[in-house]
Amino acid sequence: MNYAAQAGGERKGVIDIAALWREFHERVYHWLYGMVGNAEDAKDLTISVYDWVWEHQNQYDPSRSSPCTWLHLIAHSEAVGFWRKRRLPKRSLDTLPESMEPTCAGPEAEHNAAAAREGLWRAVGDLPESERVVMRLRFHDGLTVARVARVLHVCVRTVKYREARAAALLRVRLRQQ
Amino acid sequence: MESKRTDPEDIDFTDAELDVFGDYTDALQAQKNPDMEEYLKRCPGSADTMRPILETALLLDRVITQFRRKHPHVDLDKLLDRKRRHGTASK
Repeated sequence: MNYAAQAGGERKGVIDIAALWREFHERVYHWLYGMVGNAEDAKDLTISVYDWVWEHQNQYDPSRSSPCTWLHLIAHSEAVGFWRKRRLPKRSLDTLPESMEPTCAGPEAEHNAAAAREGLWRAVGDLPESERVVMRLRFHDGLTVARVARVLHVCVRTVKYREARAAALLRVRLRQQ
Repeated sequence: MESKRTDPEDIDFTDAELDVFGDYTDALQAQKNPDMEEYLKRCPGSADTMRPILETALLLDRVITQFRRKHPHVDLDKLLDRKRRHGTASK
């Protein structure tokens, strides 16, 4: 289905919001319900997702993701924000392992570390979309394998496969850099 | 069953390898400081091929943890978007 805005449609920029609503709002609601665990918050967050889409629709790049994936990422960000505001305790820096503490390395070492990080970001950004989404949900948002499977509506093995494949591809690409 | 890896874009994993990888990354995210070698003992036949993959997961976990700590309000998606990172995005 083409979600590009058409004349006469309920639109602001490049996306037909009404079509996105008709096609995906129930799915977005169910994603959010799975994330927050109650209907009222899931409804509010669903509205927030579409508000965000309305305000930021020009940011949608169809060459990078499908509308469904884009909506999912927005919904997930809303859910993460929900939990950060309400429940998640703030992580104390004291609980970080020692290896995370700042080092006293010289400028050359700092430069090399920055270059390595940049290479890693570039490699992650170049991953196939399905692997990149899983890596984001697992490593950045901290979801368990089971929860990622529920959010993406795939089986647990698929999540594990995409995650392991992503790590293997990263390894190959980092070596090539 | 051993996995065969010839083309890096066409990677296959056994169920045991996937379980090891999933359990290891779960432990990483739980900040349990998992011992990689202990996990690799669960798939001794493919330890040599799984080790660099687990090392990559460890590297990614550390870098993202540092990133979140230093830049709690920066959207990772923007960082990973090459167009935005190089200032060529059109809005």
